[in-house]
Amino acid sequence: MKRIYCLEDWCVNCRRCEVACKTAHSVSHDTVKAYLLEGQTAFSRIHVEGGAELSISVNCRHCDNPRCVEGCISGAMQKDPETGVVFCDQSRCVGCGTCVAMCPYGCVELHVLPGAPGKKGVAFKCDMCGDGKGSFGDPACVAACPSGALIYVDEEPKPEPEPLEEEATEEETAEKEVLA
Amino acid sequence: MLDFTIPRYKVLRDPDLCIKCGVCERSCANEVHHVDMDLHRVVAQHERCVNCQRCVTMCPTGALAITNWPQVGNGTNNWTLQVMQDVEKQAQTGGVILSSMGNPKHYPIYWDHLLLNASQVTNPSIDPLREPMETRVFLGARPARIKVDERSHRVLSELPPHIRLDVPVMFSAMSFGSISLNAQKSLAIAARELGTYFNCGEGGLHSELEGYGSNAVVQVASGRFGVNTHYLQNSAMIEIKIGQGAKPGIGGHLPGEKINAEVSRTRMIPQGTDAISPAPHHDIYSIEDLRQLIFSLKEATLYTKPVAVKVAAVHNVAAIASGIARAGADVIVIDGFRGGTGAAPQRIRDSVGIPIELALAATDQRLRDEGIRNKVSLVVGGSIRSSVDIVRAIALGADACYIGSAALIALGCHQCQACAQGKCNWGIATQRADLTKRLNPKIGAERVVNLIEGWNHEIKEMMGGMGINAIDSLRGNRLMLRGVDLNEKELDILGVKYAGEQ
Amino acid sequence: MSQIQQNALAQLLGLSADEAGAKEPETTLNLNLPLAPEPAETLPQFADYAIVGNSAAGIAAAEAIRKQDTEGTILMLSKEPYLAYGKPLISYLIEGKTDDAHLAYRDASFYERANITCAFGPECEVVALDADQHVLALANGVRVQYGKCLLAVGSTPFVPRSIKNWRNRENIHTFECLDDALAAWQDTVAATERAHAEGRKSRVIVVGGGLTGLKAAEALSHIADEAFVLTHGPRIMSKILDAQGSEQLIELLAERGVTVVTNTSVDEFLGEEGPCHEAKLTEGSTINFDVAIAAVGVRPAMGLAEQAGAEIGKGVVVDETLATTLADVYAAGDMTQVVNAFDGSKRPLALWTNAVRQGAIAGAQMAETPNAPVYGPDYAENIVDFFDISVMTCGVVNPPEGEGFQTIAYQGKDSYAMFVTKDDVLMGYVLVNHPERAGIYNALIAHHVNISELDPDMLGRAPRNLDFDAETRWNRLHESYPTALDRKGFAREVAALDAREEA
Repeated sequence: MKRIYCLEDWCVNCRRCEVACKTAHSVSHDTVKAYLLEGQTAFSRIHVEGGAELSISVNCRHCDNPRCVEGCISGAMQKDPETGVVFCDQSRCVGCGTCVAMCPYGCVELHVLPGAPGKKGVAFKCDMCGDGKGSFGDPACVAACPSGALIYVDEEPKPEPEPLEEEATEEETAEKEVLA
Repeated sequence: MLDFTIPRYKVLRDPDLCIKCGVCERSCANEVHHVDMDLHRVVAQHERCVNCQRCVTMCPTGALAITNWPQVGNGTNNWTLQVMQDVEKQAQTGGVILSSMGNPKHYPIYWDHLLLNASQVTNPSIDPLREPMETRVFLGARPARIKVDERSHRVLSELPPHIRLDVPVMFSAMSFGSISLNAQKSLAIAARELGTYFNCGEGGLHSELEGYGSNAVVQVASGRFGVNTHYLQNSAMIEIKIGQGAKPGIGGHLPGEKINAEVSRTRMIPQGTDAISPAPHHDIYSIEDLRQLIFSLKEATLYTKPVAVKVAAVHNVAAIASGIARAGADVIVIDGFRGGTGAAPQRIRDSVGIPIELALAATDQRLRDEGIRNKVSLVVGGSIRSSVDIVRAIALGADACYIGSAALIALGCHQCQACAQGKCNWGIATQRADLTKRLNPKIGAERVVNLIEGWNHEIKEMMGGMGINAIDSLRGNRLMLRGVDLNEKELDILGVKYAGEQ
Repeated sequence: MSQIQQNALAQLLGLSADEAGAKEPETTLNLNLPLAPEPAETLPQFADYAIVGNSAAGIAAAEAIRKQDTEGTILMLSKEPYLAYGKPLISYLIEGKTDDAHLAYRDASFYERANITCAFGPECEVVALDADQHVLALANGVRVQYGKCLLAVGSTPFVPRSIKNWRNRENIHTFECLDDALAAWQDTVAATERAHAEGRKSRVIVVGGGLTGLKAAEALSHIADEAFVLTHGPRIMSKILDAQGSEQLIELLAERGVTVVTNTSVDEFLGEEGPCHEAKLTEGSTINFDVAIAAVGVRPAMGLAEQAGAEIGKGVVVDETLATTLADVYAAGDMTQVVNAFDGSKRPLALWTNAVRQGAIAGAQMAETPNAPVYGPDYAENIVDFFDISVMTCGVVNPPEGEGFQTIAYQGKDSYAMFVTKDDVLMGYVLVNHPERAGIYNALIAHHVNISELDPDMLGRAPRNLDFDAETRWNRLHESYPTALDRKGFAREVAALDAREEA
């Protein structure tokens, strides 16, 4: 899968990624509206840690063995077997917070949506927008990064497991003999 | 003492668009913006703004613009507000006013008075998309005659050293110290990709750029910073810097606080000491002295590399160029009075030197008249702004051009003229680690390559229009130029006819 | 006894009357439960994999098996007639945080897509296991032969003998599975309606201050007017909370309508059969209630394994492949005995996360997946929420004295954080309303990071990825980073070219 990586040598702490993420996850897809009208419902799923000297933009790693999925009691948190994207089906999330404590990178947050029963939050996390989600282009955070600190690249291919040695069929054996 | 100076710029913030995200605050090394949580709005300290436009570019909602401070002067054309501000500043500080980048004053720009020719009916124009078009240039001395083996097509004469430029543009000298390593690296990567050269300036070649030696022009200036045998040998060409267009006759002074560990190692001077480039080379007081240095450098590099001499365009530049050619230089570089700098006394920058167009035309003519034009290549710089400036320069007699400011603009420079403050928000003219990382050489190089490739396409289009398919055929071809809005003297010096003349 | 605790007891004994705020209950439960299809008339005689239990571990195992073996037949058996549902969701269902449509842990076509034969319902309960013959006997008399078998039947509620007369009382419930929860819910709704008709408040008491008891109280407090939790010890969730954390949580729960009475439990439910509305407390007084929940504890459901002759400790004994001592019989989830990573003690780890992990490992091992993961010593990571309160605890929280453990606590207005360290390595924590990026603490524990080398303030605020040193940070955040790029994002070929030229 294609993954988002942050190269801290280039992260300049501008936090445009956060703004872009919030916009991309707003209903209006408009930055001004996302901030002024959708403050209660649109949330950035990427967060910059640090300051001017050293900063790093962190979002979901979409782990191969995601602990948030492992811990999810409702089946809301899932890893798409096709795309590898870890996403939260918020309609099923009960806001227990297991994923928050399970994520080794602190990349899942609970937010209380207006009118939520019992003031309970639901889990918000990176859903790999852009072509990871089927639309064209880089994820919003990567597109907004001014200095190439966020890159969206193909991951290192996983080594294929050693194929089990199967006994050659007669034909193949014959073929090999001919070749020899 | 009461400060009489007023802000130069005013930050305009559209309150309807501002989302108080703080990107502007975190983007500004001058600390202009501040998200004030008490007022619940973003405030600006206008007097700190240098109009670098980083915040304008970075603002996610386009809420920002910078305008002039609305204060008006008293209306006279003489004591303008700017002139008075300069007086007030000096009355306050007693210092020399320092500024950066090129001459901003209203002197004539002759490029804009030179129009190009195009083929019609009697000679065919060439379509560069269909036909081969040569923009490759070789710099170095040309022997008066060469011997060629007709059978094997091999040149039998021994040729002086040359460098090959795939595009007729090089990146002019900007030292590590005046610009960041990431800026230099961007230019180095771009130069390699484009098949041309970057000039490391007088500050030595940083160890991280060692690998780009074959695309480097290394400079030997009056301070001799970073010069050693390896430095000279790990290069494509050596350039002796006598003068710089922005501040002819003036040396350089990099204050000790800018000499950090990296700069210290590269310049080979102690950390924290001032790096002073004397105004003259203290071993050069004549053409003969210059010849000694040229041949010392040739000797050090076993005559394998061309040696260039760079001078500022001053009154008698043509005669000086003639001397340089006779001193054995392979390339003469002339830097016009609009050329940029990291720091120069403002009066010098704005008042010393002559326009490059006139200097180039006069020099080329002088060298032709003396029959030594073939002994040297002529490179010009000092505010080459576009591909058409290059075409005009070559038609006036240049072999190639140096660009500095244009390359920096491609990297993000907005010509705010505050390089000397060392707080370049674009990560170019600064050594502050939190600022230099704003310029990722991968992106920087890509932008510079884009620019030059675009220019090269345009050069080919213009050449094709003139019916010329090799840039060598354009060189000194002043018939391809016509002047407008110029007087007889100007036309005479430029060696071009007036528009409408046959 | 603290003031809060005294007040709580006084309230329970009816000494402080508060008549206001009777809640309007829902009248009927009209639910569309995720019922499993009726089991087929004839179940297969043989299955390559038989999975007993249809919850976290069972589903994870089935998925892991299918990753490796797409051909082998899988038979899942469960005595509950439902499709797999999130067991912990039962309390969220009652309080309306989720609904019947979202109970299912996997979508409806999961079993079909994974080609799993289902046998769900009371008649499909596995009543006997013959490991020698590889045969399972079902309640309906069917015998199924298997290649490999996974026991993943979880745990069962346990009520100590000291509490008398709680069995077979119509209004005393346990709170383990969906049917329990539905019964308690229905009963509480009815009891509340009755109480309101009589012009009084309805009252639920929960016996047991553990996780299950507190979740039951939280859920039912949304229906009943009063919810009390009685716990015999001085603390709630005593295994996973320290004293201060417990106090903080009790206080927060009280503000939200759940009253915890500590050092008090039920001695006897009065009467012997039929509905019970009076209980005698251990401290002697008698109280009234409408509905009671018995949630004193759970025990691993080991009956089947024990009867088949598997080795039993505090749970079913398993090796690192999660195989029991019986040939081709594996066990996963709440029923297994886990070695504690900190002190080596052995006990079950009844946690959803742990069940999923064990199930996935057991499934991979059963399907003989190459390089299948193994299960080693583990520790508890408990994440609970009550109302809008978040509680997270992990590892060692009540360290034994004199073994070099140190604790550091931060008390906020509505929050509390406590960390246990040993030799500068984080060993455990308690976080009440302190959830931000808490998973990073788990990473510190799992990687045995020496926190003395990190920012000294980091425990006092939300942890950051930047708190790790540069190398660890890179390795953590750059899983599967392309080797063709260097750490600045430049193509390595270019760098290599430069190096060559340099040479």
